[in-house]
Amino acid sequence: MTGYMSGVLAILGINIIFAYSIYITAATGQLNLGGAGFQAIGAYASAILSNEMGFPIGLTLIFASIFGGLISFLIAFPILRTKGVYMVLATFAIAEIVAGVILNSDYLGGPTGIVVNDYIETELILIVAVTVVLFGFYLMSTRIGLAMRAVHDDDAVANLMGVNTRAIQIGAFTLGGAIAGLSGGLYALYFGFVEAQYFNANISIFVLLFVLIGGTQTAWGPLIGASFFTLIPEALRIGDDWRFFIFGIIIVGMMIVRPEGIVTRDALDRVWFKILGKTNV
Amino acid sequence: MSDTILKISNVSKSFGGVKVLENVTFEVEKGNRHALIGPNGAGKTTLFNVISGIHEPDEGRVFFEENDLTQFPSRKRIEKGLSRSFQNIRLMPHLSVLENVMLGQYSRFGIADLLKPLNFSIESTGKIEATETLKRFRIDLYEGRTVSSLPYGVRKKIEVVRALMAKPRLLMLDEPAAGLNTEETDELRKFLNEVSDSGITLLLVDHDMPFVNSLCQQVSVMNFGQLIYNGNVPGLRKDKKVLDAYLGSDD
Ligand SMILES: Nc1ncnc2c1ncn2[C@@H]1O[C@H](COP(=O)(O)OP(=O)(O)OP(=O)(O)O)[C@@H](O)[C@H]1O
Ligand SMILES: [Mg+2]
Repeated sequence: MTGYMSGVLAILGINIIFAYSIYITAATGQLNLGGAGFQAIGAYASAILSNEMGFPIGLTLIFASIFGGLISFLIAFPILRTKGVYMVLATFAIAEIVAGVILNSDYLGGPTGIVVNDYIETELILIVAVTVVLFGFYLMSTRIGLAMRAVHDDDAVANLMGVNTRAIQIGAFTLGGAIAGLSGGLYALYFGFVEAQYFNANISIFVLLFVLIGGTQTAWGPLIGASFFTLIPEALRIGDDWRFFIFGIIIVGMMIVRPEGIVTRDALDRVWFKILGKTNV
Repeated sequence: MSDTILKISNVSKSFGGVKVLENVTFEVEKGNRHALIGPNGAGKTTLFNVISGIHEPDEGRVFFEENDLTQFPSRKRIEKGLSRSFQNIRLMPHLSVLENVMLGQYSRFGIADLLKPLNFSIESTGKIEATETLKRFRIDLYEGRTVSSLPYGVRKKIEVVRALMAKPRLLMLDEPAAGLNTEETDELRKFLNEVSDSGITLLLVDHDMPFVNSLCQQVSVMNFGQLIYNGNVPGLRKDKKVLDAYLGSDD
């Protein structure tokens, strides 16, 4: 594996994990536009735990997730009181607050960032990514996953069916934060450096785009969306000046052609029908 | 007198100063097929919403099998044995027919079952039961499809099946026959007769009088938020208040 390939795969893995964190929340109908904030929490937690406390890599990553999850859980209560575009803005604000706290904290390196001593290889990122993808598919195939999708479609009726809609939303938001934290931990350990400026609004916007363009109806969405968004810009590297222009055109085109994302239930059913001669329910 | 399964006592409900339910009192007997009829806007759906806990009544109480449900969370009423369908179809647009129906089973499962994968395990009992019920109602053809593109009559049936999947003791149906053709209405009647034979009490709202006549043993009539008749179906035609209510509207 060349260094370039290995680098692209590492970013791909991190982006896929990150996409599932946002997807799990989006699957219940909540849009999180503060992804970078939760990723930053995991990244900085890893940097500190690894550097200052000498935690081994596995434990560092576990705690990065726990940290991301714990903070999401606490934030979930006020955040989930808001709805629709207000929730999007509230999550966006959270990410800004996280960046602000980091920039103003000497302990966290302020604007200069922190060098992370420990490091990981691409392989570990890929193993974690595969695990997260499998977990995403598993979760969405359970009755809990069914309840999450029901909350997305009509929370009032889901509630009458016995679904604890609030617990589902808080749980999904917390789990999303934990997985975002995990992706941040992997980022910190792979790149060996964390700085607040990296975890900016662009990152939050992009990961949400991965998910929305991939499609939120099935667990395939974030996988396809994150791969598409990570690999296409690489493939377009040829015409560097025009790269983002072409990319922008592709995004707008996708939104027009497939407003519910690349992978939808109906599209999947048609594919299954071709392969199996029956629908996969 | 036989057992009462549902008792509505002196229920009133207003929306923005407009009284939609006024001192409504009535009982549904266990095992009965009970109809609730009345002109448009009489308050039938609102009464369903009060019973299922979507709205809390301003006054009065709702009793189900001896339990006072008035303050009881709406989410937990289905576990108590009370489930319903919706007049304006409220299926989940992004779920398949089978998934919509299986959502109706949700309240019957504990956390361990909720965490079992449905797609990868060969067959779960819930899935088999859901498929069989769809077959009994002759809509199994559609089980893998998402619901939004399906014909109205099929979606109406899915509403009924979903509510039934909770294994309720009282099944409340809000206009299940509305929009169905004669053949589909006959099928629905047969199906609901079977449901009733299995011991489930039915409370249903409908405007289709022949359907109500042929299915229900007991009927309550509402008009302008008040209960104006409670008795058997033949008696309806002789009741002056009922006649006035229906002559006053174009129903
Ligand atoms: N949530 C609400 N807010 C305000 N008004 C409401 C609400 N729900 C119902 N109403 C009003 O209450 C009255 C009774 O409505 P309801 O839906 O209960 O009638 P219905 O008997 O079910 O009529 P239909 O036969 O047309 O379904 C109507 O005037 C309606 O506009
Ligand atoms: Mg109504």
